[in-house]
Amino acid sequence: MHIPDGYLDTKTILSTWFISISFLTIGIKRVKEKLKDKTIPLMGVLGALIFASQMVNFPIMYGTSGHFLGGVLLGIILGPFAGLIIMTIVLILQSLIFGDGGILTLGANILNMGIIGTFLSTYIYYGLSKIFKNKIYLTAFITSWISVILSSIFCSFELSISKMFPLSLGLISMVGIHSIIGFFEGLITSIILVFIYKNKKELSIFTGINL
Amino acid sequence: MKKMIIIFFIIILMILLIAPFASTFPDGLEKVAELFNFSDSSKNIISPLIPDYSLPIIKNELFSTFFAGIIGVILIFLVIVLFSKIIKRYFF
Repeated sequence: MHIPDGYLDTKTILSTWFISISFLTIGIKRVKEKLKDKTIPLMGVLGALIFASQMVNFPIMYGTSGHFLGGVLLGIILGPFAGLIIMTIVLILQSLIFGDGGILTLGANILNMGIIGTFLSTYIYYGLSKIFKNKIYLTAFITSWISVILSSIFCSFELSISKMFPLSLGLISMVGIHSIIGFFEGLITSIILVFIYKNKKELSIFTGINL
Repeated sequence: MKKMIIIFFIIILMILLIAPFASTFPDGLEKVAELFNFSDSSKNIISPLIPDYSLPIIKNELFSTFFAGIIGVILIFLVIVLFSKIIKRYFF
């Protein structure tokens, strides 16, 4: 869902940048307040994991592929703010070094995949956890699915405001495709979480994060 | 904790070994762009160093993707660690 340059118009670029920079400013401040030295390598390796996973596209249907996003995974392990920051760093490097996603459209990509796909989705996870109580994997699966769909909805709005497609048809296509991708996002997130939870003692002790 | 980090890096390595064999189909957004005929609007404002996750200096496609991944993973790890250390000390 990395939007390349040329797909968005100026007003969309400016407004998405404004929103993203606002969230990032708060996010960096919050992360700085709580950051422990021992969490740093974990953040590094998780960012690297997200990056590597996003390289592995899997076919879904009709000559289309999807890839893992990892926002909910980041958010569950690191919390919403750190998750947002890490996802943002991944997006920035993907854009600058690999040309995956535009530079002007970074604001929109950070909004879609960082703020919606990671930050907001983590709070959705917390909310659903209260409903589903002990069923961690089910909650993670549903949240991941929702996160991908929500991101694609925001993406569709940005594209439609930029007059790339009519909103109704655009939404149907984007959300349709991403509901399938979201299913795999849920699957992969839950599987990785099994591994995380098996080792949660080590992770919690060293990050101070309550898993 | 060191053990966990090492395990993560092993997982990352395995993922990168699969990456060269990933699907080349357009992703969701690209496909929709094709359907609605705006995929030609995409532009590259700067020339990426490693376009399309393929190192230009390596001819073999599989190795090209694999090493692009290695570079990316190392870069991201370093940038995150550096960034974290900097904000811990200096920001605000």
